Amino acid sequence: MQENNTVKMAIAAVVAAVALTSLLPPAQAQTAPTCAGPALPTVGQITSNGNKLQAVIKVVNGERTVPGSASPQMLRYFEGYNPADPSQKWPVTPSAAGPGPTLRAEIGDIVQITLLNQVKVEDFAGTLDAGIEGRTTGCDESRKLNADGTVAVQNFYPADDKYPNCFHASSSANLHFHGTHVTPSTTGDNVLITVRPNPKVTEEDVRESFQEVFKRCALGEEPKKWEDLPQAWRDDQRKLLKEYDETAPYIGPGRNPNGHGLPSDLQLWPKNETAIAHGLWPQYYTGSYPSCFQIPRYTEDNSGESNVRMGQSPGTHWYHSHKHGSTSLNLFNGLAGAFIITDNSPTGYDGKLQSFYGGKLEEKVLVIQQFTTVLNLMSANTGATGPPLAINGERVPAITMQPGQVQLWRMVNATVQGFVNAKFVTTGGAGIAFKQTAQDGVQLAWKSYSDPQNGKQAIELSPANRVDLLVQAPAEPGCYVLQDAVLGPILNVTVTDDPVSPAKGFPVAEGDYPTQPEFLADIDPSTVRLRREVTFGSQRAAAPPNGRSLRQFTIDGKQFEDQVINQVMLLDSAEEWTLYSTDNANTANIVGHPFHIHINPFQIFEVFDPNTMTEPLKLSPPFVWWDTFAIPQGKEVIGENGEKVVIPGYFKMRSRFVDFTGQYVQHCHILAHEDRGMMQLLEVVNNKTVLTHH
Amino acid sequence: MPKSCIISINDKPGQNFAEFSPQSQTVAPGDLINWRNNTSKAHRLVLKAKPEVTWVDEIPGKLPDQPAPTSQQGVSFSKATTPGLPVQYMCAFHPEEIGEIIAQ
Repeated sequence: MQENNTVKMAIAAVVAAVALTSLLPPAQAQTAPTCAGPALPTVGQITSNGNKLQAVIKVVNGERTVPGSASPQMLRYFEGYNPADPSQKWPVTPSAAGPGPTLRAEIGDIVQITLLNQVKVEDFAGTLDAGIEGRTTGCDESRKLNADGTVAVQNFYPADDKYPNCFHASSSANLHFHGTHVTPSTTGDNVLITVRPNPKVTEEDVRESFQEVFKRCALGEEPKKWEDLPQAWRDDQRKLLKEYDETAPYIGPGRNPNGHGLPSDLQLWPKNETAIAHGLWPQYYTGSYPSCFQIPRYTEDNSGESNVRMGQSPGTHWYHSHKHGSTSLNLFNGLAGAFIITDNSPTGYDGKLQSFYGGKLEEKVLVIQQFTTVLNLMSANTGATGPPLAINGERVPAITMQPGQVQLWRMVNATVQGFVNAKFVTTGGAGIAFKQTAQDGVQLAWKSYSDPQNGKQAIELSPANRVDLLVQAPAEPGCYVLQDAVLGPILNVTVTDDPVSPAKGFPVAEGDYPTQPEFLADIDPSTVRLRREVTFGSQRAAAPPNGRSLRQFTIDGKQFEDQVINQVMLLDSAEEWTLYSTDNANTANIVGHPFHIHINPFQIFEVFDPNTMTEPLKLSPPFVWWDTFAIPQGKEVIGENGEKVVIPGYFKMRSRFVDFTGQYVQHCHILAHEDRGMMQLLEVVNNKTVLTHH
Repeated sequence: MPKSCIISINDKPGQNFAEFSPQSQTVAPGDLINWRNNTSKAHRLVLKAKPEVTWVDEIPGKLPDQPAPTSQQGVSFSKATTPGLPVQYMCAFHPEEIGEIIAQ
């Protein structure tokens, strides 16, 4: 899609969605196009059992058919199964591109995931995993040729991108559990690790070691340091990484005659050894990695003391590969899936909604993706439009509903750069009705849900956003369309069959709506310990001879630096941040940057879009919780001396950095921007002295 | 949207040089082309009409039990003024190894 046009509109629209006070008019009556196209595929689920979510998630590759393309393409994808229940396996048809299996767990469950990276690097090229180590840049590289084969641009990519803020390592992977409130360290939501591909490593090879990790994890004994991991797996990792160091292709300075074997400063295992010697968690792994953590349930004891400051919000979350340098290409390959976390207690989000609908509330999980195999920056750009949207692997699929039926739609925007801004097309006054119940996996407070404007706004998702909607089909059978303002139809709804009897609408009494957990109450401004300002922006240098210059994406004027911590927060403290964007509509091809921070969600209480507002929009409580929000673009104006001045767009938010110390990241969720430097390393620290035995 | 394609370099039975597979590859402007070296020898790819023009720097040979090395540097074509004209390339180390790209 046209990024800059789309985002201008999307930013303004997202702002409206925050407030849920939008005065957007209801969709205009139109004649619905004829319903056509495939049925919405149901993505296979791996569900928890006995308080454990056990899954083997493999990163593999194969020829897959991308929606809208006639010829299959080589793609990396997630293949998953439940080791305790072989019937839970996805994908069933690997040749069709689409998301990985949907993971489903209950609050309080232990998550035990065996990640295997079995990508065959020889099936991909032009990337560090498969290309020659020791190149001068460390980045993926390409030349642009004239039609006669002479070189038009010697350094088409990386141009002036610099490692590590460039596209690279596209077959390496890790797992980010987006929206979870869990530890960011060791085997938790740790995106600071790199799992290199190694198809020779199987689940059988690591089963015994990982069972030991999972068993201890279930007892609350997650590994804290390398030595806590099973000896056998540590020995294997050491052996495999050393083998890689000794055999990887390399033609740089000091090369071996056969072009293989890395020089000492590029070897991975010595880097791990250094980290281990300092008591740090090593960064590099090959073939496998255990993810294990508990999804915290907020409970209070008899004295009113809670076990955690903030529990996990039940809702629609997701997981995806998050290796810096390859997140965008990996998501363009499809390495993403939904992660549904439920609370089926009588007053919980799922328990209450199901109870209201007599246990018959049908759910639809919709994972929105874009597929491509070549990033535009790596090859000659063929246009400004991005790949079309696919939902569960199909373009413009159809959901079937009975007249009057209510379904719960869980929508995940798992695209790299796609903004959704859609409305239902109505036919002759009849149409699909909806009520939003959650944003980014966090349920709306009753007051927000029951706002009369809820259901009249457009359905909007920046990259990484999720929305939960109660959707009701009209009484009249027919074909109904969810239409994006830019892309046109993205989803059809076929209303057919016998009407639901008795038809039940949406909850209209507070007692019928899930009770919002106590930890989701608004953050008290008087508890704010610190205020920060963080600025997202970009710059472009003059193009060098025989090359080109790319816009460089920064936070506070700097790009991501490995091991450099940009923000430090105190454990159990609340802070107030203002997120600015100085990029603006006059800056070529710049879009609103969707700000995302891991581990803890935030509440937005003020938004300013200089392109549409003269004054900041001060939102009314209760504030909506988000984990991703597009910062409104700035606006370029002429200053008093005739100079160009940028009025930045911004939003203000409050967040609590609670329950978990450790390092994690914040970044732009246009993932090509993140890969190219628009990311910061954060650390939450405890102010208590911790004594350890040596 | 551009696509990614890989041309294999395979040993040619009965010869001491390799061959490209496919020998002739049709691409669209913007498609990213790379080469995978399944042979034990190194190869460097240049424009046949002007061998001083390097397309792809040296690709080391494949080691036993290791993945086949692939090109460090991909190439893509600009839009052709005369689509369909084949452009020949060859290995600088083994001139018998000749392939062609047809940019549509």
